[in-house]
Amino acid sequence: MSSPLIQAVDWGFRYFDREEYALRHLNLEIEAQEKVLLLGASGSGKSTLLHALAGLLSANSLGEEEGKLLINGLHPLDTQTDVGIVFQDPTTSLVMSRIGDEVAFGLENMGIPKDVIWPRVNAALSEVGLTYPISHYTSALSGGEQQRLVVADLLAAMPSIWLLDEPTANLDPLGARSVIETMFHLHQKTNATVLLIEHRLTELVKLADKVIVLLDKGESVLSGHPEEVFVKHGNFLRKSGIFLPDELVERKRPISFGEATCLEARQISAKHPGQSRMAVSEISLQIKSHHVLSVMGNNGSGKTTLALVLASLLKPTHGQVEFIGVKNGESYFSWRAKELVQHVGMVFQEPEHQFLTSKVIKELLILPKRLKMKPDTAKQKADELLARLGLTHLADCNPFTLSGGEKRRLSVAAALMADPEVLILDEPTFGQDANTFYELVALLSEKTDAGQAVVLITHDVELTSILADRVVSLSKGIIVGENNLDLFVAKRSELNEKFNYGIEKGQTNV
Amino acid sequence: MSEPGIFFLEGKLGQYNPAAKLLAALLIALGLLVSDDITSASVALAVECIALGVFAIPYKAVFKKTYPLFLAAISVAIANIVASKASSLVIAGISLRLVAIAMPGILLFSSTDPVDLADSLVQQFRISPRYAYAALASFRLLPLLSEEFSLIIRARRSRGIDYGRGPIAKLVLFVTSVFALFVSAIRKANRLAMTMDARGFNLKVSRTSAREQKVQKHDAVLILSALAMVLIANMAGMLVGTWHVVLLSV
Repeated sequence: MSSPLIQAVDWGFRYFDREEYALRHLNLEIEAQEKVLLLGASGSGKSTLLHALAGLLSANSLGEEEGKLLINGLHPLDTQTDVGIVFQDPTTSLVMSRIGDEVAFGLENMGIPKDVIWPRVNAALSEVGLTYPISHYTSALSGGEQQRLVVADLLAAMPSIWLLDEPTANLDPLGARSVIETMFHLHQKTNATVLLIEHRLTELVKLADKVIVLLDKGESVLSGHPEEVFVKHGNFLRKSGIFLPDELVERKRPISFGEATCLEARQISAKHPGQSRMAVSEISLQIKSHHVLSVMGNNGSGKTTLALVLASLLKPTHGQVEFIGVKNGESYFSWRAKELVQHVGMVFQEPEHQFLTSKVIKELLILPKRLKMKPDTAKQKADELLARLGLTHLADCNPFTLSGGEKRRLSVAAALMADPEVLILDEPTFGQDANTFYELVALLSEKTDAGQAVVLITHDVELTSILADRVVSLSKGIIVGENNLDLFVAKRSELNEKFNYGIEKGQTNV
Repeated sequence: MSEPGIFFLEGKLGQYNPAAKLLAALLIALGLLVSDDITSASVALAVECIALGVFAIPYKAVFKKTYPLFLAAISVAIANIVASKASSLVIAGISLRLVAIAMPGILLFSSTDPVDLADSLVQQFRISPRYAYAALASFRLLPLLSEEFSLIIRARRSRGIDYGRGPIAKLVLFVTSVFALFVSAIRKANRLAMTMDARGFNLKVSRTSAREQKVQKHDAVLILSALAMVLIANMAGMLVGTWHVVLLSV
């Protein structure tokens, strides 16, 4: 009997900055040419396994390894050219400034002669549908195009193993769609072995002929044919925090029409920091208490700029924003930060920048201390939030070492410590598993019922349909649609065509 | 699109080999550091101005890119006039020399794509690709730093921290934000290094190059011309009698 292509024997890995192993006692086997969907809850070690297979953990000596992880019987460090990896965020995956040089970079590293490089570069670019000249700048590509360029990098190197770490997670629906189509196109032609991580089970799942679920940090593993695994173990997986395909997302909140207006924007126009073109123009909005507003739109539609203006973090070039009921005699944009945080909380798309301390628990307590809250009350509140958002076991860890989903939840918790009347969240559901997704929804529902105003900046149709009361659609900096949620749902198929808000999971029960 | 930034001056200099241009610029800089007299500086600058014409580079475009240099030269002159007892001839010599030394460097960087420069450093100067391409990749991150800094200031405001009242509070915020910027830059660089390793940058294979940087006859002419110009400038100084070796006067 031939041995499997990929084999883990009692394998484990611990990052040097953590006491606990990210994965331990892992045993699994993957045969050549299998298309595997790798599942697991947030923080289950999926990415660690992929990075290890790409030879990145040992190459950078980030931690200690135990047991064996083998590709073709060899250590992953010795099989690097057989393995290609696509990361979540295309912006940190690009090395060179022009698309031709970018694809050629990997081939140069492998010592491939110049005459062979360029035909392979051109073939790979056309395979992923990038028809620009090879001197086109990578910075001029959209997010979806950049991710397809990363896929072209992989194709050109012709690895026999493809590792895909949530390749569509950071893209808007339009970009995600183009990457999914590319992957389907390639799937029919390749003999490669594929390992795919996806949280939300998009259409990419259909590419898989095998599912492997990592449980208890690798201590146990469920594997089998997708249908078999999902049917037999559906309930169990769901409880472990794994989204199921075609899962019915249920809305629990009744639609609210909101109460008092707490923040009002009148005719605001603003530039995105560092750019000369207007990112939003003449937008008027009312943010109400007991109400969830969802601002939707593709990348570059001006959503984030609008959020920054609403949060008093970016001064608009025209128009006003007024926080109603706070009479301190100053314009909203000259408020002191200490006062601002008590009224408005903002969670960034890149929450890392918001971290101020070296410990998760300190991150929550720093604001109450500055606001002179009672230490006991603050501590109790912090512990409650950590428990609800599944971060208790990380209380003493460095915020920068958390997983993407954990960082985002920490940032939400930190903003909630000051109980602001308005909470603005930029893509809060990135990297969340089913459990943390629903916990986040439940927490925000409660806060809204208690009177808070919530603004979601998101591409997430599921999140919008189960949490929002009103939807504003942005395109190229202007409001192109504004509806109560029932209308949003009714018009969804139309919206789908117009803005490509791809609904990946079939019908949603609203 | 917006990527090239300061690059691409019109003219023929773009056709020369980047390593040859670098060598020529270094020769000129070193050769003009020998003496501090006004004659050699003026001759060098005059030859450089003629060279602009030879390379078909419009004067206007050069001035647009180099005006900060002229401002610097003028402020050096003013500072010297105010602070030192040196004669105005010596001061003018220093200012002209500053421009004459910096000009070739500016021309080099504004006529060379950084990718070509990195290629050329590896192919002609045999610099390790590990350094050349890592530097190139991080060079691409540089313009993002100022944007990143304002993002950090914004993120801090969202956490209740802003420029306090008084200069000390301002300084504290500035210093801590710069620190945060460093941390974030290092993390970005780490991520980039990981990406590069994933693409085989750490393989122990001899690396090939997809872009060949040729050395042509005109590159040799360029280097010899630079050498000739330095010699002529210094000899002119000797002939006029103003030539004066900097290091000997200390």
